[in-house]
Amino acid sequence: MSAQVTRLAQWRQSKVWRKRIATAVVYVVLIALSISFLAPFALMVSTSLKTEDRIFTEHIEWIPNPIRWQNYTEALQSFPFLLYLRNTLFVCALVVVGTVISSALPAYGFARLRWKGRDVMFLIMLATIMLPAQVTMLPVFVMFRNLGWTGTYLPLVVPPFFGSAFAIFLLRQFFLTIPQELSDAARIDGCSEWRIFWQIIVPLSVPALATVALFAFIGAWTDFINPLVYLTDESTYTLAVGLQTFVGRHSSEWNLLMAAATVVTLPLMVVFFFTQKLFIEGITLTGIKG
Amino acid sequence: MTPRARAGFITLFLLPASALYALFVVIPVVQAFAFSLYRWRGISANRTFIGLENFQQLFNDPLVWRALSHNLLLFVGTSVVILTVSLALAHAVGAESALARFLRSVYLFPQVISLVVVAILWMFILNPSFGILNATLKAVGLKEWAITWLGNPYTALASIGVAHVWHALGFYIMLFAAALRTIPTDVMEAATLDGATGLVRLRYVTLPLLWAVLRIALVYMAIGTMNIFSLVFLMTQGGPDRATEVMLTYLYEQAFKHSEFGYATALAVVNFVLVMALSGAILTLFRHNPQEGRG
Repeated sequence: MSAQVTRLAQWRQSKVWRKRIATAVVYVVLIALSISFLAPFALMVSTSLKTEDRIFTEHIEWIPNPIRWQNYTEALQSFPFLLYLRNTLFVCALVVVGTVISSALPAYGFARLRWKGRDVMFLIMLATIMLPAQVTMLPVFVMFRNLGWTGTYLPLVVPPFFGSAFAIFLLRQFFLTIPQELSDAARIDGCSEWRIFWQIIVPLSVPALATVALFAFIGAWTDFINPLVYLTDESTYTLAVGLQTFVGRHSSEWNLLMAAATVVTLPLMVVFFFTQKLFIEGITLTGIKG
Repeated sequence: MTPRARAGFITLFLLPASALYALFVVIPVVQAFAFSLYRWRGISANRTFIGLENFQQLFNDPLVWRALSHNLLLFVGTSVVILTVSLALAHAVGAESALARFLRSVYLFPQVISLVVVAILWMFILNPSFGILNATLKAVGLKEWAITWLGNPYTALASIGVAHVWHALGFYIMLFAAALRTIPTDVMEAATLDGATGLVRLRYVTLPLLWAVLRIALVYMAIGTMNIFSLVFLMTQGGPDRATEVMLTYLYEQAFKHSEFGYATALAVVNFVLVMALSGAILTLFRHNPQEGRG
């Protein structure tokens, strides 16, 4: 009897241990994977601080010796970083403001108002999310060219003011989760639809609006193809295309290139660090409740 | 509010957006179909109506078929890797510990950086003479494995696929991690008590419950790889010898290098139809959850 009890206890013990070992193994694998995931970034930063003759060594030097901070000053001098940063921020700001304002209104219409043809319209709009920008790229390009807008920021910043299907979709999903009773009560109190929108829905939707703003910001910051197609004058380049020209001219100076890449990535690292919760919520909102 | 005021209000909310949306999306789509029927060198104003000739030319263009096969290869290759890895990782980092949270953001990070930087990083890693990959291979004695990854027609496409996976993985991990969290814990516990653990549980409990998200994820992957452009354009420009040419790099070449706007728009239309067909095929193929409706 007592032997049985001890065996049972041993078995339980071993099960606990097996579970602990399994968890430990999982975490070791995960950490190894995330290290290899981060390795490219580490390599970028470490290369950006190396002297030219230490970039390629037989064994990888993760910690540069000697450290050469001048790479950053040289990279920033051979590439008008501040100008490109200003251009990028200008475009980003307009895109964010445009997207948030012009997507919140239709999203409200789709989520909180009942009208004839609403669901059909919503489906049409959803279908356009699937539509790759490349299909409309050429006709839109021709339209902007006829308007004389090529070479200016207008093709980059005007379309967001007319709504983004993705943002409308995301906001609609969020607006739907706000209890309808709130609006009904306000309506009974004689509140206008406009005031319901501004004073009830918008304050309750700050996280969703922030998510939309964040996505718009990252999208505009990293956008490569639109600036590539529309911006012709080098002094108007955004960071993404500016960096690409830099690659073309300094393709063998990897330390300078990595310094430039680090500087371009750094602001996004900071933004991401502070907003990852919004980012994750956005992905969840579009993936699950869709 | 009177019905009339209400109607006015709804119009106010929706009309500007819809009208302008039409201007930037609907009309261009219609135009895209129209442009594709013309022979039109982009610079000149005169275009000649040639009916379906662009499409005919397209079907006889071996480069289109090659580009398409590269898109499809990328889709199949990367989606298998992404699905397996992201499901496993979503499982592993789903816990609510600080470490799990940290790992989740690590995987998500490549999502937010510019593709230009992604391309630079991978070009550096894959650099034939001194890249970290070849250095590692040489260090472990696999000297003959150290090749010109992006310059070799047999490995260039796979190399781009690796960079794409690295970039895209975090999104899918998040998607699946969020979906896993919606599965009630008692379902999982009940399954475990019934002896379903490990792969069995994955096969019979987790996957069926994730079915809807899996379908959507596959559609996203199809759209992502059929429309891949920036990474290819930045890393190889479709080379070497067109070994990594994809539909959109070819479209870009036709439109902005050769000014063949008619032909390029025909390419865009065909690519769009293919994406829709592929998405539709995925949704139909995976319509029935294999574990549902089985007595």
